[in-house]
Amino acid sequence: MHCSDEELISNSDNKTKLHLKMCHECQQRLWQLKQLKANAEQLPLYKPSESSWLKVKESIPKQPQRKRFIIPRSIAASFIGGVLAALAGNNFYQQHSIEQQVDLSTDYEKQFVLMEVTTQNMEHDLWKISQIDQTLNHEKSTLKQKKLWQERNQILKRLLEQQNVSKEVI
Amino acid sequence: MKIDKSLVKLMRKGDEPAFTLCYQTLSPFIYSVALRICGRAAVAEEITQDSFIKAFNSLEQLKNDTHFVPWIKRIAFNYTVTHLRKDKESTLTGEVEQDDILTDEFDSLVVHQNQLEFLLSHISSDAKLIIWLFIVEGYSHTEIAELTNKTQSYSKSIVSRSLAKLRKVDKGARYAL
Repeated sequence: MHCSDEELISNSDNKTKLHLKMCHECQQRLWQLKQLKANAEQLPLYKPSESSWLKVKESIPKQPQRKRFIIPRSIAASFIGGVLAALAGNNFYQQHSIEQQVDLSTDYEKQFVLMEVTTQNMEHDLWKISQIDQTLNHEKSTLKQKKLWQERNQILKRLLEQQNVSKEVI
Repeated sequence: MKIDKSLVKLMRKGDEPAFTLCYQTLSPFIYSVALRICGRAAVAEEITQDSFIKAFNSLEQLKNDTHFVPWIKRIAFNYTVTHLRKDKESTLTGEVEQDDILTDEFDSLVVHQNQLEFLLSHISSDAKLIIWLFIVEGYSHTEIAELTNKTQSYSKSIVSRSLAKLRKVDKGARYAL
C-alpha cells in the first residue's frame, strides 16, 4: 500500500523510508511535493502599500509590554468586598464615635450652664467654641467632625474644671 | 525570512524602529500569501494590517521569542480563514458551492515552469489555503482542520485530488513534448 501525502512529507518513520526505497510511484510523489515546496521560494514577493504601514504604525504600543498577571475573580471579589466592609465598618465606628462626643458635649454644656461662675479666659474659650461650631456646620468629613467635637469637649471640660476650682476658692 | 529574538525583545520594550524593521521584513511575505489565496489586493492588505496590529499589540501572549514568525503567520492564516468565510457567506448564500478542484478545463492546460503557481491559479480560495498550509508551511491535516474548522478528510481530499490533477497535467505536457 502506498504512503499518504502526510507520511511522505514527514518521512520520519522507518516503514515509510523502507517503502520509499522500493516504490517508484511514492518516490515520484515525494519528489513532486518537494518540488512544489521549492516552487514557493521562487514565487515573487509583493509589497503592501505605504498607507498599510501607516495604519499599523498608529497602533504600535508605546509602553513596554509585560506579561499580564490575572487575579482570579473570586479573589478580586473577596478583596473588594473586604475593603468595602472595612470602609463601612470604619464609617460606622466614626459615626458612632461622633455621637458619643456629642452626648459628652451636651453633658458638659448642662453642667456649665448650671455653674454661674465666670473665670479668666472664659470669653476666649467661648469664642473658640463658637468658631468650632461654625466649622462643624460645614464640615463633611466624619473624621474631622470627630476631631472638632473632641476639641470642643476639651475646652468645655477645661472650663468646667476652672469653674470648679473657682467655686471652691469662693 | 527570519526575525531575531533580540528584535522581539526590543519590540516588547516598545522600540519603534524594531517594529518598523519587523514589518519591513515580514509584510511582503504575509501580503503575498494573502494575495495569492484571496486574489484581491485590498483584502490582502487588510489581512496584513490586521495581522501586524494584532501581533504587535499582543506580544505578551507570545511565549517563546524564537517562535515569532510562525506565530504571526498563524495569526495571518486565521484572518485569511475569517475573510474566506465572510466572503463565502456574502457571495454564495443560497447557491450551490463550486467544486474546489476544477474542472475538465484544468486537464487541458499546460503546466508553467512553477507548478505551485499553476496549481494555485486553478483552484478555489479554500483549496489554495489548504495546499499552502500543507505543502509550504508543513501543517498536518489535524492542524489544518483545526484552523479552517473543516474535517481532516476534507483537507486530505483537497491535497490528494490537487496533486493527482497536477500529475495528470504534467504527464500530458511531457507526452506532448
